[in-house]
Amino acid sequence: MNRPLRTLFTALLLTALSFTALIETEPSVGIVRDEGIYMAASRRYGAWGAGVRRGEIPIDDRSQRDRAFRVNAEHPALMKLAAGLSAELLTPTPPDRASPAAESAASSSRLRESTTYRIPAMAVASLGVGLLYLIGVQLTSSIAALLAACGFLLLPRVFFHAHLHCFDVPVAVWILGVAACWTRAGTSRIAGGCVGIVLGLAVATKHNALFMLPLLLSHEALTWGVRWYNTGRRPPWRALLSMRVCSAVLLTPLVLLATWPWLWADTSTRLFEYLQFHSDHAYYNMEFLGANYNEPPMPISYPVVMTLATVPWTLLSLACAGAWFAIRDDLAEVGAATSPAGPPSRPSWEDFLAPTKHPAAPSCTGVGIVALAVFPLLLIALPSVPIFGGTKHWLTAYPFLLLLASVGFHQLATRALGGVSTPRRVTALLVCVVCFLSPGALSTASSHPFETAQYNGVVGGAQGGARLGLNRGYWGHAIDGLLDSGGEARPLYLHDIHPLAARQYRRDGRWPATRRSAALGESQEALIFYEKHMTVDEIRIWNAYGTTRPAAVLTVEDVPVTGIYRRLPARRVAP
Amino acid sequence: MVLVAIVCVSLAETVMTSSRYGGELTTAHWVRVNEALRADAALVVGTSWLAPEARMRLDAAATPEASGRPDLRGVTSFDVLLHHREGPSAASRWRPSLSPDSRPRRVSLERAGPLLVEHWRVERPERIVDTLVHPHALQVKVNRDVERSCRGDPRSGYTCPGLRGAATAVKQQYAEVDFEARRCLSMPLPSAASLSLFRANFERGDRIVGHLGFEDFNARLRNDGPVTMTIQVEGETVARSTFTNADGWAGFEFSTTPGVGALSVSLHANAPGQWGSPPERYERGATRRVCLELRSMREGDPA
Repeated sequence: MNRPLRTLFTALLLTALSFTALIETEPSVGIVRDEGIYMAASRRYGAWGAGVRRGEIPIDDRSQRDRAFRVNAEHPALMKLAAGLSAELLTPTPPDRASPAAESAASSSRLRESTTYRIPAMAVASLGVGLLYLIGVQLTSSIAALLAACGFLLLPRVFFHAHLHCFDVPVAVWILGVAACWTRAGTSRIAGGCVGIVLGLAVATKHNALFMLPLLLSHEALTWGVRWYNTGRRPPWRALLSMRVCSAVLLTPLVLLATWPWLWADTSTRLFEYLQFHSDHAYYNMEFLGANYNEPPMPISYPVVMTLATVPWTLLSLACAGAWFAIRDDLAEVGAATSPAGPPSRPSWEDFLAPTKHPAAPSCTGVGIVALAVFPLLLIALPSVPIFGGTKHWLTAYPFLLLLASVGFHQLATRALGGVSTPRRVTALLVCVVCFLSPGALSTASSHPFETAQYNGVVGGAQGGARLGLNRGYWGHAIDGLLDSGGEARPLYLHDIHPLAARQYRRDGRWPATRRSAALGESQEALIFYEKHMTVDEIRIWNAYGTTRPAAVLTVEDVPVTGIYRRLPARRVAP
Repeated sequence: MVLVAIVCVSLAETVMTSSRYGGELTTAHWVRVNEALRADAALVVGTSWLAPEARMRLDAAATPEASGRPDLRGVTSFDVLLHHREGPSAASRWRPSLSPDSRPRRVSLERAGPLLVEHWRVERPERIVDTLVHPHALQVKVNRDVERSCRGDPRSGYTCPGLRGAATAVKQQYAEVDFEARRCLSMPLPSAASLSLFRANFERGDRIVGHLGFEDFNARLRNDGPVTMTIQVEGETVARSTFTNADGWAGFEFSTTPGVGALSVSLHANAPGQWGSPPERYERGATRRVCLELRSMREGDPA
């Protein structure tokens, strides 16, 4: 097998293994608040899609289309549509999936309905692992690329979020795809054409991707600027309009429109509403170093400290080394070109199709990767940015952080093991990869399925995070093992579980249909998710139930994440 | 060299991560803690994240006193439950919870796996003489232009004329103040109204100590108007203080002459309404809820 084929085969194998790992570990992952809404929306979108496919719903029937896509119109539709179609395909239920009759059908199918909603996101996450390997091989070596690919999925927060029918890991993967196409587009016209399509998919997944366009344009300007410096001839402005730029500018909105039927009518108004929703986003509560924040500004150190506390320092050290090597290599390209040929007064077709093919044109790949690893953290650190939540909002940085780690590893290993024979070098490199992956893998295994409470070994794991006053959870999902045990289904106070998530538990058959949710005063059992600002809710339970003693507590490395209380009989209520 | 250093970092991280893998606490550890606790000592959970499981496993941690203790005043000895990674606690940690004259001294320390139980004794402790909340003797009145008596008792709650609904009851219960649980007399305080708490035969020591705090994190988000507390002993005003929701669990203390007599505490909401964020989101008729505990103390001579 030749090398490119072997690389492709390894990438596919990694993708398949990742998907298997995700699907095997998925059943214990609770349904997070947002998923409850996304799954309800997916049900509508999927039903519409299936209706169109069967010819029952005309695709141009605006009222039916709007009825389906009005649900959760504050997020683009791509992943929800994919999830809906996945559920339609994998769990056959009566035609109207939203009907009560479908509830029992959904719960009796072999595959949980929620799993079928999650499958597209898990597939995209797995593709991201394979893609990281392919890019890593291009930048470094096959062994160093393994570090990038496996290291990404084994980060506790990434592993958790990769299971969810949410947008954070998918958008990180699409952005990685955009970066890959963009870099490749420097010398390949096909990749140039793909930039806009992949960027469109990214924007159609989550609004984070909107920031990619200015970043890509800045990168294009940088490459032309260096080329100008190298040759001494100023390129014309229109040289910036390379194929990859045109593709990004023209195709991205088309892909967004094509995948989001909500925008097929009143496009500008609805687009404006979408952008406004995210710029005026509600503030969430977030505990950071013992303080509860519910209004911006968060401390600007927040994303940096959280990254230092959640990503293994081994990988961060390697990423720092990789950033150093990447920037150094890019700087070496500045002024290094000896070709007298500067930019033409009119850009040639070659410059349009493959702008970095010119001998005086640098790729600036290293700077690009560093920028994409740092930008998401800087963005969240801005004092004016709403408090969206935790680390999931800068997961888009992590693929690039891992690529830098593999670059650092490759460069350091090349220097350290240059004179060593090939078999020994390969063995030593593999041992290093295992060492570097161990902290993340152990953290993930120790905390699954409650990785949002996990912190790295340097901080002291989940206990260290709790001691430092760092957030343990924010999505009301950590209930695995607390309610699944059957028995008598008493009216349950859901606390932070979204009612739609509760409905999905019932549809899945994870909860008995008789377990109804109730207000605290009418409930017999009450959940409490331990977060600083939720203390008030636990105290309300104490007062309502007449006890401060939980019936059971779920823990991660002994740190409580969720408790359940049972109401005492009235005669035993404490004074 | 750099690669070797990073390999060492990874090995260290692996060791640190695996040392906590899956948690260390077992039922046997909690049984040993239970055995180590002294029956006559108050229990303080010094490692806050241990509290939910401690309440589940230990009778002593689930009592109203342990769950909502205002401070350590009046306590002659206490046990502290800690996780060993937090290490033994220092006396300076407990001194602010005691009277300035009292001195906490660690007597011994027992280990139960990853848990530590510290046994502390208080030198020159205070004694609680009386508390404001009394099952039968506490009278509550509300004043909104006209003063009217509220009916009930602290356990089941007082119902006040003009204040309707379960959320408006004056009641001894747990309240969240500054993200901590406090057991106190919890009461609504409508705008432009006063609440008076009266004890005809309150036994005084040589000081009265207490705390007042605004309840509910959400209410504090909205920034309530301040509350003025006036305390009268035998009809004479002995203390007046204004509290805001930024004060947290605010303590107060003043000297008294020992004896038995009338005690009245009145609380008045100075500024009506609540200010939201942004400040122009003002709610005129909003009610804030405050949490009050008050004890008379005497130095020395523990019972």
